Amino acid sequence: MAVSPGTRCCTGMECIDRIVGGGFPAGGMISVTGPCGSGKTLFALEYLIRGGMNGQKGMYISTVHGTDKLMTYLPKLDYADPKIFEKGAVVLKHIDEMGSGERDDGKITKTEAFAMVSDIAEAIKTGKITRLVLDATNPIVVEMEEWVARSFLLSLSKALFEAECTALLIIEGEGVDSQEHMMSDGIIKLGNAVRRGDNFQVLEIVKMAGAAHSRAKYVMDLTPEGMLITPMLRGV
Amino acid sequence: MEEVAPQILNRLQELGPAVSVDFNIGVEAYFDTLTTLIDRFCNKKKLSCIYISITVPSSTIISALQSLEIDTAKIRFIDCISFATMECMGTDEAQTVFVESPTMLEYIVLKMEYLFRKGKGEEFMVILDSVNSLAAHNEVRILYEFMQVLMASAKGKGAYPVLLSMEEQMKPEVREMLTLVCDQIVTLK
Repeated sequence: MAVSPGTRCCTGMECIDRIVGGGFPAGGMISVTGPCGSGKTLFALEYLIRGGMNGQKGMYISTVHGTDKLMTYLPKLDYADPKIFEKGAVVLKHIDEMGSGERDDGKITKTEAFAMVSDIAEAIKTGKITRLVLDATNPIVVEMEEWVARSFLLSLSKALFEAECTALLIIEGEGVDSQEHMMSDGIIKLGNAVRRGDNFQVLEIVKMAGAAHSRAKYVMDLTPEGMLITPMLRGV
Repeated sequence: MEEVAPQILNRLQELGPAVSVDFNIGVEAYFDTLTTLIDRFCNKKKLSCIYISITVPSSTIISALQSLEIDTAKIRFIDCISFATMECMGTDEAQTVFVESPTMLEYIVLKMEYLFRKGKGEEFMVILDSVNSLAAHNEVRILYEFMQVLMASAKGKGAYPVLLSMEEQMKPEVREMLTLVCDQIVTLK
């Protein structure tokens, strides 16, 4: 077994560690799911940056934007070491660098899916990566037959566990019932809540393996000092 | 009416930090209360001040204080009105953070937390101006929850949490709520 039972990956995001029982299950695969603009990418980057600043190297794999474009999106992050990317503590990659790009009738074959996992595992090993973000998984999974997607996710989960690398799978969408969610060790749901016409950015922990996690709904704010949360008031 | 400054200063000295206090004041004492808290308490003790303004834009308060030559450098505003009136453009972002509406109570808590983090190592006073304005926008039940979270958070950071309430505009249910969430209610005579 690569990771001892009960080992947690302390995210360094104080507010998150507090509500997930001290951190994510080490070597696990956590889904961060939510609609457009709900803060998934910033959440994921903070996870990597906090890790990088604590000596845990991170890798961000984009399946959508090129890494150069991604850097232009980054807002002011006062908590972050400004040289975190230059130092290589967080590396940015594009999914096109993984696998051969082979498609069969527009679909990713099982062989290609395994090649992608194999390349990711190799990058984790050679880069001594302990934190990974795949943003987003939907564009890859949508190109796979259902059974191929399941094999891809299973082999990715296994590779992560063996490498003791804790990963966030970013999933675009409102629901939490896809294959990615079912195979995840934890699910964090981001979204919006409306109260009397006011729109709130919210976060919920739907599932976190091996932890007595919070079930509350939190209002969140992605500030230059990092993510902050507070329980949503009920008023009843 | 007696001078408010000695009453406020004595009470704050006596209570110390991490004790929530509501100063129940008459409208005519509002500005004296404000200048006492900011100039004669915060500035003198070199405290940073988180000023939560519900109905008066931060720019107006800054102008008023500066016209009296009061140093405003250590005040950080959580301005809950300027966004709605579209007056937030051109405001000094280092000094003011905005909440879109006084009904978005959770964001007031989060902005306060943000300012605490930003001013790590500093000592703070948190002023909520005012309970009545907030009660005009929110139901008492949600306000009660909010006040508990806000006060607990400010106290947990070792700040001086100060609420301002107006004697003339106080609804009985708001007064009752204040007795539950405040450690001290001081009516300034």
